Amino acid sequence: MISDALALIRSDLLKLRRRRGLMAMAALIAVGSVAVVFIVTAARHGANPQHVRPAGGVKSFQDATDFLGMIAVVLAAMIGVTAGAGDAEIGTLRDLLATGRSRLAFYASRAVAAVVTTTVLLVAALVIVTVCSIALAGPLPAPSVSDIARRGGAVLAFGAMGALVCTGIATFVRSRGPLMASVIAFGVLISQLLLQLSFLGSLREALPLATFQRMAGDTVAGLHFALPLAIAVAVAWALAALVAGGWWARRVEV
Amino acid sequence: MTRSSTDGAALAVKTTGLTKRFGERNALDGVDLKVPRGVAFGFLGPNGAGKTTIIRLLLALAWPTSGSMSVLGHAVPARRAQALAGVGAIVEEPRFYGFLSGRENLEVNAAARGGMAAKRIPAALERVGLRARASDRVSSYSLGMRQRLGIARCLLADPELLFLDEPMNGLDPAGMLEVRGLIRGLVDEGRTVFLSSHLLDEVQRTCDFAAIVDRGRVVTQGSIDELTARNRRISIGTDDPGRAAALVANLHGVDGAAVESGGVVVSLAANGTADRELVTEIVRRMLDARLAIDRVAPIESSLEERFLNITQRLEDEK
Repeated sequence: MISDALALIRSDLLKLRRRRGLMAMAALIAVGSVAVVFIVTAARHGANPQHVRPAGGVKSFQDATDFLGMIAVVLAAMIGVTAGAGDAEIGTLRDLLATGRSRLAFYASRAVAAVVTTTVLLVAALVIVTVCSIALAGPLPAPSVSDIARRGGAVLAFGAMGALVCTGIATFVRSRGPLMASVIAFGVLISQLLLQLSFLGSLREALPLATFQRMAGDTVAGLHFALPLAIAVAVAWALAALVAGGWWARRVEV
Repeated sequence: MTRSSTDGAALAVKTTGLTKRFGERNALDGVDLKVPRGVAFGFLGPNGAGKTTIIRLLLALAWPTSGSMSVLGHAVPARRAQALAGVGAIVEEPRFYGFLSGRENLEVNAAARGGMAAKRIPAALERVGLRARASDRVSSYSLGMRQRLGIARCLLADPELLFLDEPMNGLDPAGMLEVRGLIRGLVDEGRTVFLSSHLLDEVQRTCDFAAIVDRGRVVTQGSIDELTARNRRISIGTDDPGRAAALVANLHGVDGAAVESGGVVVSLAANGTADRELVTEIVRRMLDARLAIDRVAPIESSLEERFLNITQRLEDEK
């Protein structure tokens, strides 16, 4: 039973991994972008150490992990939507369901594969960010273990939540391109704008971006909500999308 | 050629009053279907007749509006896992992950099936003649290769029953011959093949039994021999076709007689007297009337004629 479930997850991981264009772009966005930021800053510091601070240190680590929060949205959209809608879009969903295997088993496997793939890419990016923040700190204080654990954990949790939400939504919306664009627009742009609208008050605590910033230990646009609440909101987002997607996966005609 | 009885226990597929509505339109309208085990069963109908819809229902890919169905003795959709464990299927055209190799595509399907399916991959590839190309990406496969890979995918289940939806679509004559050989080979092993097609000639060549579906209704079903026998005709050459037609038209067992150049074509009733006795009686009556006869020959009837007769009749009744 467990080996059958693992085989299904492995096959979903294979389907994601072999989409070379998608994976190359995701790796470039995750790893390449942070690497470039550190390389450029280090080069500028080397050329003008009096006026440009070192590329590493706690502040750089905080900025880089905030940036990775945005990257997590993009990766979750690319990978979660592909995992959730890929089979239906290609037309292979029928052939899989015709095996008689539980529809929920396929759905769960896709969600797990999306989370694993997103997490692997984010871990790679976090390793670069952490190593660079420590190695290039110079005279500045390097990030502590608790900094790394808290902010790194927030990035990974945010990425996993995003992947689950996207997998769930993609079960309804089978067209990958428009859904990816919508998720990225909401996660990166619209959420930022909504966070600035103070008249929304504590409603803003329901925004995924606010939960990420709270989990990372940042102050969130004047909001003062507890960490457990932020975690509960993130879990609720993931659960709501997963339950809705699972319900649809069970009843949809293909 | 394998022939099976059609009693309940021997049925691979059974549907009773199966209806599927899409909005106001009846895609299937009270379909009663009986597919014996161990045969190639042709499911014939024009495009849009409901062929793919019934396959989707039998595979629990869609839900019926009313009626009941069973696959390999298991009620669907209630016991679909048990039913479909012994079923391989190609629904419409076979779809694959173009960015994966042929073997990897089968691995994905084997993972979905679980159990022994993964171990059957090499044999399945060998059987459909794709072993040498198994490591190539499917995006580089021809349509014929994809059809064969689709059949290999079906074989991963070691299926008792295969649903093949228009498997000859887009194939050249050599490809059709190849797929036909594969299907007959599967039937010879005791498997049941449910072949949906609008290619009447292919069904007649490949299948043992058939059902004709039109506008969501099964209009007739039976063995190919029975279906074509329902259209029995003989041609008789005579010196006075008009008088000959009048003489035999009212005979018991004769559906009608039509004058043709140099003779008469007599249509025999489907469930009438045995051919030998009836033809003897027809000839005797003509000889008694002192008509000269220079030929008596059966007219070969095809499934295509039968199909066209039925669908034309339905069109006329509209």
